[in-house]
Amino acid sequence: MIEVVGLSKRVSMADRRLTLLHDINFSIAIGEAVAVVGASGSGKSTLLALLAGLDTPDEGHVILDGVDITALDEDGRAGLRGRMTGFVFQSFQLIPSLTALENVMLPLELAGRRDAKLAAMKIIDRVGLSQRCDHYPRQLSGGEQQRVAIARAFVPEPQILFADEPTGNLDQATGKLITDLLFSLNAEHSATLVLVTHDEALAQRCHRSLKLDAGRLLENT
Amino acid sequence: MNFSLALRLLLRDWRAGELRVLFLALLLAVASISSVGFFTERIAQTLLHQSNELLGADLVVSADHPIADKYSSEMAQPGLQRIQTVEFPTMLLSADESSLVMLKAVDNAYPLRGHLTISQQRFGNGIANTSIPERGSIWVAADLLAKLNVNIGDILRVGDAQLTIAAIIINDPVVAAGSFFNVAPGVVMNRSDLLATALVKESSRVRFKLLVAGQAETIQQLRDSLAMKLGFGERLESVEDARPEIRSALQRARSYLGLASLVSVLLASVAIATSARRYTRRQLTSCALMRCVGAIQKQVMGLYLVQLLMIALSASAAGCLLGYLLQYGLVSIFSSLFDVSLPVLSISAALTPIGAGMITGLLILFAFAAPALLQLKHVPVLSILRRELGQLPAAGLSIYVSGFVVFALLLLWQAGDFGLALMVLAGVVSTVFVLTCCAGLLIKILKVFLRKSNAQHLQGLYGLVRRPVSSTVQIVAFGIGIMVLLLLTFVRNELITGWQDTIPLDAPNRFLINVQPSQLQGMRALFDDIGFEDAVFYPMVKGRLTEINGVNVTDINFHEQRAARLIEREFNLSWAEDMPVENFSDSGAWWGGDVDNQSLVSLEKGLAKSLGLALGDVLTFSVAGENVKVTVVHMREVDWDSFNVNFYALTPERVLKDFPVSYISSIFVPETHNEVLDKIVRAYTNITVIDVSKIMSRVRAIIERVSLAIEYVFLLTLVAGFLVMYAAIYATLDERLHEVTIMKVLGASHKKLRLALLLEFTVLGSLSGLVAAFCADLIGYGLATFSLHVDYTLNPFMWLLGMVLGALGVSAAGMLGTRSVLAQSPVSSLRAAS
Repeated sequence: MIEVVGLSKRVSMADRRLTLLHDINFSIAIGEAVAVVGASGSGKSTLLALLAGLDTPDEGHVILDGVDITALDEDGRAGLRGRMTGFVFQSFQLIPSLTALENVMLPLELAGRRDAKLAAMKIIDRVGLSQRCDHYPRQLSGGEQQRVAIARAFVPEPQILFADEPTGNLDQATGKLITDLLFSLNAEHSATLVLVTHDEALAQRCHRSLKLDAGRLLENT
Repeated sequence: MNFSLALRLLLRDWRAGELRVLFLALLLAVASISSVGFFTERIAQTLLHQSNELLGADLVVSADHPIADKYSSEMAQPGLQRIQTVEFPTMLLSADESSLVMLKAVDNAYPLRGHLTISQQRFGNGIANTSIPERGSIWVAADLLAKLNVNIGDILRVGDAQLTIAAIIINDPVVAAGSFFNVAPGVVMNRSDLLATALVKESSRVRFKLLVAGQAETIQQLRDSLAMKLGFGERLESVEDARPEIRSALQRARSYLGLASLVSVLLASVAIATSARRYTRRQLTSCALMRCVGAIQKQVMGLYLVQLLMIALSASAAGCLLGYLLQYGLVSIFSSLFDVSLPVLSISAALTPIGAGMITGLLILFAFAAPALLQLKHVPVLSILRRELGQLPAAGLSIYVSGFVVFALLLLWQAGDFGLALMVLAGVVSTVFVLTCCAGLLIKILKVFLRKSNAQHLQGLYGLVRRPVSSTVQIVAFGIGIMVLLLLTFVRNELITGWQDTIPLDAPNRFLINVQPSQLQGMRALFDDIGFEDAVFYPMVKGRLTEINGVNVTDINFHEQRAARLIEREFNLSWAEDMPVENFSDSGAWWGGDVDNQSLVSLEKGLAKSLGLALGDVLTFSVAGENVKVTVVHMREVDWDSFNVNFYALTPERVLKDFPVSYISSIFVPETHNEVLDKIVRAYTNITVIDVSKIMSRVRAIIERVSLAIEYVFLLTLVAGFLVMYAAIYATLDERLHEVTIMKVLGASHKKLRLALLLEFTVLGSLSGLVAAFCADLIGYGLATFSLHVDYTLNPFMWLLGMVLGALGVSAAGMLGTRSVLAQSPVSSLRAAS
């Protein structure tokens, strides 16, 4: 499903080039839940961005469902993201001028789906926010905002879900509820889950972990 | 392109209040432009539809000499109807009063198009009449009855003739050209009685007209054939020329009001640019997110551009609607100046201002908002994960270039003249430059003051110096609005008063024209009798300039419009042995005593400049059919404000004394001694007395109306200034919210924060008023000193009022704009910030 071959990423600093990721290789099977763990600055988010086609590597390839996304241009990658992926972010990334329902409808509307509202209401109901459909993000608690974000990620029924520290901005109890929701929805949709986290307990709930250290893949367990 | 998605997203942003300032600013700009468009179109449409009636014919040949015989062969076509009219100003006498009137002697069937409406009762309803006054009778305008203390059936003296008042004119659609400044009421008489009046003499100022009506094709042929044959002093008046005074006023109104409306457009554009930038900044996440969930860049940018188009169309449509309502105000301001009733604008005629408004709206929005929005193209999709990548770049050169180009185009369009557009552009740029320098300087002074005084209790003022660019923009924007209002009220009055003060109290207030040589001796004796022994009678000979240095004037291309007008009409030439007292030598030499055999001329400097004449040039005047060649030997400056009789061209006596001559004099008659005028016109019925004070009050009324109209248009400027303020405050709202939240968390009370904001806005507004008053006085001083040559006194009250006006306006806009900042609880502010 996801195949990573010889992936490297470097950035230019003022006087030198810094290697963020160094010759990373692994693969993830369909329906697998994989945690990407490591200290701050180890390259977790960089890896997630490359896997999702949000950024391009200096070397190597990322193959999603048989398509080498590193060979695609930005619009090609966007199209693939729209068809195959969903995202959950640490800072929720809800659009403040849209209600909870409209935030969830947005990916479907962009894809031209006529049943956007119906599908969005269904999944909002699933995440337990049917009473808060018309609320704006600023009127929702952190946990509620993340539930809207999860609903938005699952509404296009993605094959792969990328989650970047989904509980990073939440307290422990809320984080636990969000994690439960994430995993149960993932199971329901039989999606592949790639989850970046600091949280060991969260990583434990995945089928396996990829541990990064200073841009190198240390463990694949 | 998914239009329905673009519309849905737009409505969602609108509901969230993201687009209100942008929309309102555009609406205001379009309303400002289109109100002037609707107004001028409405008058133009009236003129077009009523022009045949206003002309009284399909075609009119007008001349300063009799022309009926000259064109008799051209007129002798089947189906053509023609009549003659003769028009001139003269004095009308009743048993005990006299009045200056505009007399029109007409043939049967006048007018050939439209109707004269007359009544038999002073306050009766008029009836459309198909005849003309019977021989021996006269129809008069209603206001003459009271003035002359007469009624229907009474006898009036017109020159040597006695005519009976037979009807009251309720409406004469054909008002003589130049009537805009004509203060004399109209009278109509039968042309057959004209000879008996003995008023038309060779030296009199009389307009002879041939009125023609017929089939459109025949009229067109006649127009073409006459156009080739017209001689000096003859011109064709067609439907396009009906009411030339209204047309030229309309053209000026279109140009000046249009330019005035552009100031609102400029300010609204600043508001648009400011709010578009904030909107763009707030779209960074949306843009990155949309691309993250699968939208391609073209799709996202397409969505934004379609939204922009939708805003442009809806705001412009609303602006046109508001503009249509606002034009009623302009119509009511001007209605007292024109005696033409204005019908409601037809849909087809309304399309022009609507189209112009819509195009303006599109241009402005795309020039001032699109560059900011297009920057979203450069936002990397990765910024969804790494916020530091999603910063909006500083405003690029593109917004300044596109803004300047569009504004210059609008300026050119409204001015309708490249020179005027360039002048206004230079004026606007330099005024904005001076305002910006003053505002920047004041902010710097404030910064030094705050640093030195370490005044912690003036917390609000630190906000002003922390955002110097934003503060300067706000001061300039609001300053422009206040400056314009101060200019149109205080400075205008100061200049008019200054000019009036230069006119001596005993300056002549009556001109006496048409005095015949045979009457000169008797007039002098009469003047001695009634105490005007100092009055001077100046000879006046009509002459037309035909050649300059042997070249026919029709072959010379004059650059100034005034020159073309001067060539078109006859000059009043005069002779003098000594240079008149209020004249000053500019160049050349005035002739001494012995000028026999020399044909010389002294010209007024302004006239010579308009016609491009220099010392040594030889001019040929056609006087009573003879050519008179004179050499320019002297130039004079003339003080026209003295209200004494002055001439453009003076010669030695020998040059003109053998031609038909009449005399003119100016006298001062106190209001309490008006009976002496009656005495004069009763003794000499052909003499016309012109009341200068009436012309002055007419001029003043026009200035007042025009100022009022410009003020009216500039009220929108003030609203636009308010919007710029609001937009600028709105643009810093996130920053302010953050500051206020931190201060609240640290224990600042609601009252203290409110006071700090109020202080900031009050000082900002006072500074706007201060720079506005400074610039208004600067412009006023410049006009007084260099253009009007009058004294100018600074008005401290104006400075005070400017500051108060500024403080009130800006505080209102500021407190309105920041009310949400103060109202939010710290926890929700912190949540929104996170």
